[in-house]
Amino acid sequence: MEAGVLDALGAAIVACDARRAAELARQSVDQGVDPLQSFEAMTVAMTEVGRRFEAGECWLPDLVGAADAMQAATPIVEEEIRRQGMARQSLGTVVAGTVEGDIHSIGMQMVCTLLVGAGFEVHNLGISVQPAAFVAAVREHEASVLALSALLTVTAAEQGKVIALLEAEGLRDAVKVMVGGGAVTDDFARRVGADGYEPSAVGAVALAQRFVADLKGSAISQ
Amino acid sequence: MSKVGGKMLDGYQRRFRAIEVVSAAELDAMHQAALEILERAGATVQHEGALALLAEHGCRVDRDAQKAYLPTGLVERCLESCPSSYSIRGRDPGSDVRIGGTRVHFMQGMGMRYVDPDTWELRPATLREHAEAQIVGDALDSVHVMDACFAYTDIAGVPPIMQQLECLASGLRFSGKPQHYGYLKDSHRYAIRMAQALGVTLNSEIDVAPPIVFGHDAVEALIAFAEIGWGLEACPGGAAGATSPGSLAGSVVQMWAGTLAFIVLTQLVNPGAPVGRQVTGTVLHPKWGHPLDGAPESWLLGAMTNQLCARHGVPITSPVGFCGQAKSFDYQAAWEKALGVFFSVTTGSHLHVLHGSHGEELGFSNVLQVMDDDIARAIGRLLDGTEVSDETMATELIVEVASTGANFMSQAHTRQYWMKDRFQPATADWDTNVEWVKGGRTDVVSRARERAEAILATHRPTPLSAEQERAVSEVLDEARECYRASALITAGEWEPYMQAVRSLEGLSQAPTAGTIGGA
Repeated sequence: MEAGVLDALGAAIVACDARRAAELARQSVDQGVDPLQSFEAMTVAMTEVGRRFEAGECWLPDLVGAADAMQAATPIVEEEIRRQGMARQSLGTVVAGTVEGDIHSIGMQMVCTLLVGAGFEVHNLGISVQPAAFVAAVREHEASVLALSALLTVTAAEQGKVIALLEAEGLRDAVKVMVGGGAVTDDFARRVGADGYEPSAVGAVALAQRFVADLKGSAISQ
Repeated sequence: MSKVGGKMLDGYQRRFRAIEVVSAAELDAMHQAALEILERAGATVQHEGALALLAEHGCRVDRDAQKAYLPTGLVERCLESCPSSYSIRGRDPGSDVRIGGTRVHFMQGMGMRYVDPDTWELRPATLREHAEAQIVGDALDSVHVMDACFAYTDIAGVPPIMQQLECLASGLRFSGKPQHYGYLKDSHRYAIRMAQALGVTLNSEIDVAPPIVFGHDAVEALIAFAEIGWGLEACPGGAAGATSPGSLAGSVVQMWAGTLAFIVLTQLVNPGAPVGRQVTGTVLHPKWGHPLDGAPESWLLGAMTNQLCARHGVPITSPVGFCGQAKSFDYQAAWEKALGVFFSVTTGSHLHVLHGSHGEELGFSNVLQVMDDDIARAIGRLLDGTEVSDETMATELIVEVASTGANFMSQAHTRQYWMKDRFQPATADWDTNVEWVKGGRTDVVSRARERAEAILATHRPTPLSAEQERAVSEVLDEARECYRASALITAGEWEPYMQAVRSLEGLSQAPTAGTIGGA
């Protein structure tokens, strides 16, 4: 029975069925399945979707749909993990948002969804977020990655202001900053002091994964 | 008809019926769907004054949610009061452009950064390069409307808040043609004063964020331009599958609903205010999710929108096909642009964005402006068509030649028609292969670079009078001080900004060789 519900949970994620995934997550809890195993099954499913995406067997909406399904099931499983006094190992904590003055959100939403699907804990602050709010969230959640989005040339400059405030608050070295959006390039990212830039949502997830690996490596060497 | 070598800005006349890609019944269905959306889902309007205006005219308004639900009767009355065409005024006599009807004009393109034609790398432009782009656009007969505001939007040293104003000032200084504009925070009030000081009008695009959201700054700008009766373009957003439905018809419907809401606002502010639609909306790359302006599906979105606008008498500005995904000025760039623009023009657009845009609007280039001149003029030649008459059918001549064994080359009729209304490319090479080898086997990019350099060395746009320059400078100074005071220009940005402004000294009145191909 346990194998059956876990297989079905994975299948629901691959099928981008958020409602079914949430139902099966609840079912797994009710059946007493180890919630860490449930989370593992979800991660395996997302990895399979990622493999298919890389192989050109499925496309961006399939990736986002699967991540949405995982996002629907995750809180149910996580609540059970906490109730049993256990802890889930997330890849890292990400604070994300669109900078002040910019109301475009679709790119950031896709990045956040895919980050959750990849195993990150994500705090999406929304649109038109002031620099101080970003910094406060980084501090509160002990974020390892800060993801800033800006679509317009005029708002892209706000990304530099957030980075400058992180430095002023003594937080810059503790967090990796990635920037993105229509107005951003590699060169611009370097100019504003960001740690990286990727033009696609999928690339942003890979960048976040490299960031946390770098941070872990730095922690070990210290 | 636009003449090679002349300076007429009549544009081109579409002498044949626009191609239809959807039926009348399908158009009606999409229009009705948009009306239903406005009644059921409404528009988000982040502006208290606009919400009050909508409430006054019968809309159900939820102030807490900043929502207005637009009744169909109101929408249809406002649509009826829109003029089906309108003019924009430039400095040069005879440069005014009328948008609508069967006339087709071209507008300078939009692009963020300077494209290096040797390495294809993108970098911020200089203010001087931006000014040179205006000089080249002013010289090209097929550019009827300038887009100084958006030809280079990432300019080294210029604070973002001043980008549109500095670019507009350069556009007004270095071209006498009408100008397109946008909006940025409250900078439109300075733009309006600058234009009024020179006796010109602006044609401004204002966006409607998807699904149907009017931001506060957008509404402020809309009100300002509508009140003075200057042209406005509704720019609703829609990336199929992300910010609008994944189906093309669904994207068209959502954006049409945004257009109608925009029209309602303008007409309530000033009944009869000129308003058109800038055709927006694309499909996205299936894997990476970025916009694909060069995809045929994006062109279809545009064509369906053109038909909707034509059916309801809404003038159309279209950037469909203005740039694709090509990373260099190559075969891909050419087919993406030529096919996309041709399809858009033949399906009914009036003012077509084209010259100089590159690579998903990430780049702009003078070299490309020159190359795009050939595309625009070739399309214009197709639009102008040809005369069918007794004279041109030449029946008697055919009978004579067929009966006598003569040839046509020695006929007076041939001498009359050989070059009549013939398109001649300015940059493409139509010579024989032998001539091409003798000429050094040049390619189109190198020929375009030479032509752009020649234009910069010889073309003199109509200069501003001392009084006009003073008026422009005073408005810029006032804007700079206002934005310094509000820290939208920081202390650290000021000196690089002034250096950038000083780089224009010496360019203002005299022709100069430019820096095509790199700084």
